[in-house]
Amino acid sequence: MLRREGRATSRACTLTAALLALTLGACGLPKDPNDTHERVQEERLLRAGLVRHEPWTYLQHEGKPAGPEVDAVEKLAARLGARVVWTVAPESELMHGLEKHALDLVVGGISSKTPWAKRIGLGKPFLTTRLVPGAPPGGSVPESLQGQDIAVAPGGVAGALLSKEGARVREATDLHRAPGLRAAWDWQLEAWGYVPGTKALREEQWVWVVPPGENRWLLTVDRFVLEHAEDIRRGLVDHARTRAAHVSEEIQP
Amino acid sequence: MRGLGKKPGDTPELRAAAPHDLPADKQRVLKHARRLEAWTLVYLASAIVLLYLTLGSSQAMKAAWLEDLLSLIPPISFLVGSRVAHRKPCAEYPYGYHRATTIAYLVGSVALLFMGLWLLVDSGLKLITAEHPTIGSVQLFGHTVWQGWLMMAALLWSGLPSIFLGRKKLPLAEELHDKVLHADALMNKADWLTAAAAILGILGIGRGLWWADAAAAGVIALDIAWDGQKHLRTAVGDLMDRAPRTLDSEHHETLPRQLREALCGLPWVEAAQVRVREDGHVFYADALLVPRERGPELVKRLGNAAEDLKRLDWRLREVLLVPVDRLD
Repeated sequence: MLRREGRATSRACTLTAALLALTLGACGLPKDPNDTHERVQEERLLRAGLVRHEPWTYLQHEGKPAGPEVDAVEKLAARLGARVVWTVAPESELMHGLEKHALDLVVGGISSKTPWAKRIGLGKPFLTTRLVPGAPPGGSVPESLQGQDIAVAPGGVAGALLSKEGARVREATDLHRAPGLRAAWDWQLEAWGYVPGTKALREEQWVWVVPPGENRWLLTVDRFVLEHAEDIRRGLVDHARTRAAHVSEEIQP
Repeated sequence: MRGLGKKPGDTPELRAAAPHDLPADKQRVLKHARRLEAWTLVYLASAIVLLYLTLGSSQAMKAAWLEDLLSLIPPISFLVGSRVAHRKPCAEYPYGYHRATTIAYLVGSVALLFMGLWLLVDSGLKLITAEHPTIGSVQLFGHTVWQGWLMMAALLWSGLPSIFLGRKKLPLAEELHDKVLHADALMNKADWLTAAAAILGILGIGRGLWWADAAAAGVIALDIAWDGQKHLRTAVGDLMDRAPRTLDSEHHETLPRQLREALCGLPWVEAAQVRVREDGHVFYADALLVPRERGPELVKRLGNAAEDLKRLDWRLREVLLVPVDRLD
């Protein structure tokens, strides 16, 4: 009996110690093992990787990075008192760099299903978009797509998915000029004033990614990008709208 | 029993062990234990779901989650085993079904041992390759919060209530002489250690110590494997019919000695040898004895002595007395 009581006391002590550690440790959790967050602020430098993925991110004629995600990264850097140094490369190269802590952040329409997910620090999905058939203003997408004539961007998955449903797929280089039904991302349809159908062909969640295990930095990035998700989406819509407008100018002599 | 062999009466040339029902007070304890185990299952299910939802890429969380998954085995084997074990013996299973619990015990301990070893290797690899665990954020009431906090809350739920469950089950296991229930109670009681280790691992990640996570997972893995080998040894011992031991398998049961003393205390017995084997919850004893005289009353004496000896312990299902000329 005595032994049992002794055990109970020591157990209570351990629990109290654990609770104490909890409260003490609570200040400023989490921290980065490699101090990315502190480094960005101290060196005033944010090393960002850019995957070219129009309209999320692209290069202007003079090679300057642009796109709604680029704007957002610039804003994040400004908030931290840093400037952005961009590295433009294919996704696999940038992910390797991220894995080895050579970069602090990679953006460019990166899907949450990226095969790199386990090797890097995957951010919280800040935007969900749907690839969906849409009807011209005033119209609606028919219940069944069987035998329907639908325009798609060439080389995308939309064509393959729609043919499986029995639709007659038309590839259009300038999708925003194609007549009739079009299959496109929800933000494109919104820019064209199209009415989206209810059944999505594909749903995708978009993320920003950071080096693995840099949990404070990831939290900072997550908080920022979730706060600015609406801006990024609006940027996508604006981009699609501008392109459509350019084309109509070209048509009018 | 549904078709599992014929009733003992059907084949008089085959002998089945005496039907053995638990004494009334033990029946009540059994009912209580079954209710507690049912609650344990509900509680464990909730902890498993909570841990799974907050799992993230933390190895320590994975270890704690796996341990909770594994701790489903004892309550399930107890609930199933206690139904099967108290079936009446039949021609097909003349010794009854008590050993079903030992089989469940064996399977469970093997699962524990190998899961523990696998987890240990997995955690070791994570340490060697210096894998930095990433723990992201969650949206909570409109705030973006570090997921580590949720993980720690889930771990508290998986660790604290089980202490009380374990404490309640321990005395019941003693009363029912049930090893599965005993192992389960001990595992529940020790579960807070797992939770505490995992919480330390998450706190470690939070403080920027990437290795804390895999190290905590390694400690948990060791604990699981240790439990596994301990139970495996007991289960193998039971199946080998080794000398009966107390529930914690630290001491020998005194029953064989008691039986022998009782036998030798009888005036008509000159010498006796007793062998007892454990069959799940119950004991079977057989004794060789040298009677002082071999009158016609010997058979009656043997029968009476067997009945009396059975009253020594409720777990004693059968006592077989064999008169011999001399002992080896």
